[in-house]
Amino acid sequence: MKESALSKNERTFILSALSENRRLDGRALDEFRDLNIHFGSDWGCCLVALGGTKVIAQVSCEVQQPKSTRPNEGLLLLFVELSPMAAPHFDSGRQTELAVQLNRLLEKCIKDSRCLDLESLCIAAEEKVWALRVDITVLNHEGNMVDAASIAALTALSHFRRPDVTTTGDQIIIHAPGERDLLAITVHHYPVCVSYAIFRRANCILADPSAIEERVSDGGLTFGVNACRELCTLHLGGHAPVTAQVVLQFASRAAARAAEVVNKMKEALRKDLDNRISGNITGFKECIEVNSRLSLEKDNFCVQLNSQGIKDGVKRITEKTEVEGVRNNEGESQREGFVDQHVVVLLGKGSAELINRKQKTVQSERNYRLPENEDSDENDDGDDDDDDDGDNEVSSSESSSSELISESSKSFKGSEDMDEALTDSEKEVAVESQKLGHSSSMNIVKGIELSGDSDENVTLSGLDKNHSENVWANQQPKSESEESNESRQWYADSMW
Amino acid sequence: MDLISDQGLRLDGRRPNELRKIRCKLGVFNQPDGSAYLEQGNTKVLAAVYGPHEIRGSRTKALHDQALINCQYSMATFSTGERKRRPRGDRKSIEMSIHLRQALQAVIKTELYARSQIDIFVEVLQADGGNYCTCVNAATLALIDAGIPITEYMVACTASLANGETPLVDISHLEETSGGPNLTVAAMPMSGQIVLLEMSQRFHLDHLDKVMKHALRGCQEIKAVLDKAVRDHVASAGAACNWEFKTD
Repeated sequence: MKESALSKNERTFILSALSENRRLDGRALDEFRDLNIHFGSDWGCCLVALGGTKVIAQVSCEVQQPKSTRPNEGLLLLFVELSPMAAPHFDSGRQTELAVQLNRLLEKCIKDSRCLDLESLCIAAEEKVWALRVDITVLNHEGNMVDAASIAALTALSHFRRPDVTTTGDQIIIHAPGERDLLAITVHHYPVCVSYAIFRRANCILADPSAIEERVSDGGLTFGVNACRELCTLHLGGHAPVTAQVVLQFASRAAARAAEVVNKMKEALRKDLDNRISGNITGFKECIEVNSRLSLEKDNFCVQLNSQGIKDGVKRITEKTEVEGVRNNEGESQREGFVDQHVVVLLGKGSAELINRKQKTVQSERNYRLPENEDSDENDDGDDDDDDDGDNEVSSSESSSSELISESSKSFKGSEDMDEALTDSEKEVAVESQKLGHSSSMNIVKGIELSGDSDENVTLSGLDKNHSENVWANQQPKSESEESNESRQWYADSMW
Repeated sequence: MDLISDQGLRLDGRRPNELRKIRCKLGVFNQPDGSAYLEQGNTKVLAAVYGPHEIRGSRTKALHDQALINCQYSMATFSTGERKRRPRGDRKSIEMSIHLRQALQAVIKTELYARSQIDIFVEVLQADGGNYCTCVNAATLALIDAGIPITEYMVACTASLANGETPLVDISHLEETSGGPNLTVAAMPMSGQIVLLEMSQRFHLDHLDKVMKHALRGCQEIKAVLDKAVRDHVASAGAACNWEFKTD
């Protein structure tokens, strides 16, 4: 499958947001996502989650003949697999260019930097040595697989235990784990990779790019640094020429981040060791959270409202049960509030919103109007703790189709900028602009029939400006709406 | 093994900041649109450029606003000390091809040839360290020979650190494998922009500055040599038509 095309709108949106030093997920330009390290029940099995990117590494060992050029050293094989479950455009089969690059980068970082003591893996010189094989599988691609993969590989290598071997004259005895304790592998230093994405047009460099940022970026800079500020690998790639200054500047930042990461790794290793000693082996169970969404693309869609005018407007709205009509502009957006009690609030002229009664306040806050200036971009709203509930894609992550689609009522002047990454997911923000001419009252509809739920294959899209009104009118008085409500009820419950 | 002797000489008798001897020739083949042969010390590389021509294979790969650059890096089986079983298609060669393409794409004016393809084939005849750099340099010469417009020379150079303190330029195979770090830089020497950076082994961050500067300086020196070779070639090719050259 080919990678889905990146629309110009998404690209320009991200670039213009970057020129104002804002990122799509609200992080600072040099901020990294959360790093979580989990261990499996076997030795040498490690799952690393860097934000949404999830990578699993497994170490195994085997006795083999050493290389003729290095007869005293053990072998280390790294194999990176981009699993088709990680992204729709990954195919199983021959390694793609990306996989080869990832593989080579990790090999250079871990093998060439000689971070493992391979000589201790020698059993009989020139005949038998331990061959370690690290299999790294990318489970989910949300950008910056290199970092996650390097952390996973190193943690797995430090976590791994190999069987003990005794050589008595001619005989070589490999002891079973029950007989003798398994031995750890000596790791001299931990060269973790730290990646940055370079944007020429916006003239900035981001740390830990997400998937969409990577696609829009012009180049990437990856440093393999260890905790002692030693550079183990360096890779500058893509279409963005840089100057030496920039490289040096980011090298020192990368070193700081690497030190943090190594601490976290050691901490996680220590905790796991304690767990195992106390007999409390949990495996990966604990990292699969039952109370959160797993199958959707994004965790949340964060929007920050800046202008005071917006906040005032929002307050006014929340006090009313009937909202003033909205002015619809081009673009499309819709937002769903997810709750137990679905009510559809018809905002007039073909736009509607599914609102949760009890969370109405929060929801409405999201409805904002862009003031005369075009500055209000979308940002992370740190105070809003209902982020998770707020916008979620409902149903499938197919765009349009079975959702209630409202015309976007973005009253932004520069609305192209705001048409951000909406293609795949359904996170859309219902922007409600304050009147300016229309004042049809909102009708609270008890239920709404979604296309796909009925025989009528009505597909609403933001383009159907003219048709949407009629469609709404047709759909409202259906009795099956209750049913569809319930099916959405199910959906809501399984979400949280 | 001491990379630097007491007199400050390297294993092959060079000073730490000396480049190896560069010999090159443009236009060595008839069939390709452009070709070049480059020797840097003992590393010998042949480069051939075909293009711009229509996209071979699937039309879907065509880019509507720029030319597609296709690079292939191949090492002859006799190029290394031990016979190479696979001249191309293994991971290292694919990685080299990707890096080559990346470096050259930065200088080729691809926007002039929409929906076309430019093929660059590079064959290493003898690998004695700095393979990638010699390939990039040879490819640049071949592109010039083919008449494909490029914004600048794309030059690559390696640098290393001996004994943890002295930077070496243009390292040979022995110096590479002796365990010292090596940094490969592909840059546009006139503008000073770095297009590709690769590093292996390890050294302390504080040395990065030094080593990079040396590599960039090496790039500029190589560019001077290449530039002279190009001008000589053009002058001899156009001697009959009295082509004149302004010395820059």
